[in-house]
Amino acid sequence: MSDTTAGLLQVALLIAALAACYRPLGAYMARAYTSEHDSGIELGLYKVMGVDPKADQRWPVYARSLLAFSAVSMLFLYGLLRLQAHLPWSLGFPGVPPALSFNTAASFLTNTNWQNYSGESTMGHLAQMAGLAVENFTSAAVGMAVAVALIRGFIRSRTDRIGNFWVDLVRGCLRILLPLAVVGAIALIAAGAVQSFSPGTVANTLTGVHQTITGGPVASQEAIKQLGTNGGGF
Amino acid sequence: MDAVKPPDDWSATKMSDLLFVILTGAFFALAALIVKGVERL
Repeated sequence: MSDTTAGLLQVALLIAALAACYRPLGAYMARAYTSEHDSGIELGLYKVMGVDPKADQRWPVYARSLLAFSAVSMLFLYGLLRLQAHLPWSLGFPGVPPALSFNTAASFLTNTNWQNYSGESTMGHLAQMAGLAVENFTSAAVGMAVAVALIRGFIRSRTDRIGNFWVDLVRGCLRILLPLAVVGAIALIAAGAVQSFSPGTVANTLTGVHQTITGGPVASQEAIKQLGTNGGGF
Repeated sequence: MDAVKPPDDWSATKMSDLLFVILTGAFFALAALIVKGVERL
């Protein structure tokens, strides 16, 4: 098969997949964001965050909530990367330099996820899982929350409330992204993707060269990375 | 035309932890001010 044929086939398959899933997935997402019911896990999270899930916000409050969450996320990821040498599961990697930490934190926060490093030789398991993978979920959920708030702004009348940012964020992660990512990760593992806590395996080749085969939670990272149109990680 | 390439050696840049805190703080403070400003309109 030529590259052109393969490319066209991929585009056609993507369009077919979108056509097949946009109604059921769209309906599911709409239900997720409009449901009056909160699960026990969600209520527990709201309690920890001090959020009243029934209280809708005006747009400035929604915007400030988003900014506050983003600022904390940025500081958290930057700190995690800078301090990884002193944290567990760093695999012996040193702290990421300030500029690269800044670049990585900013790009993961904004869902642009510019990877200017080799993930498996720069970041340990903790930074990958508690930093990059978490941002892969939350930055996608924040983007979805903004889209949902915008839609509410168009369709609602006689109110200045556009929903609750924290509820949209939690529901986007727990009800939409997490279930899909779990299914995606299992599919990737079934197809042979690596999913382990191994730091890597050194293989000796026939020509006498040492080759390190990457280990780590690759499948789970790749699932949410592709789902949230992200980059980075491995 | 060549794309703008990032520096390969990040440690050679002048970024520091203090500068990160200042830049990040300034960015989010400015964003919050813009929200406040638009709210008043």
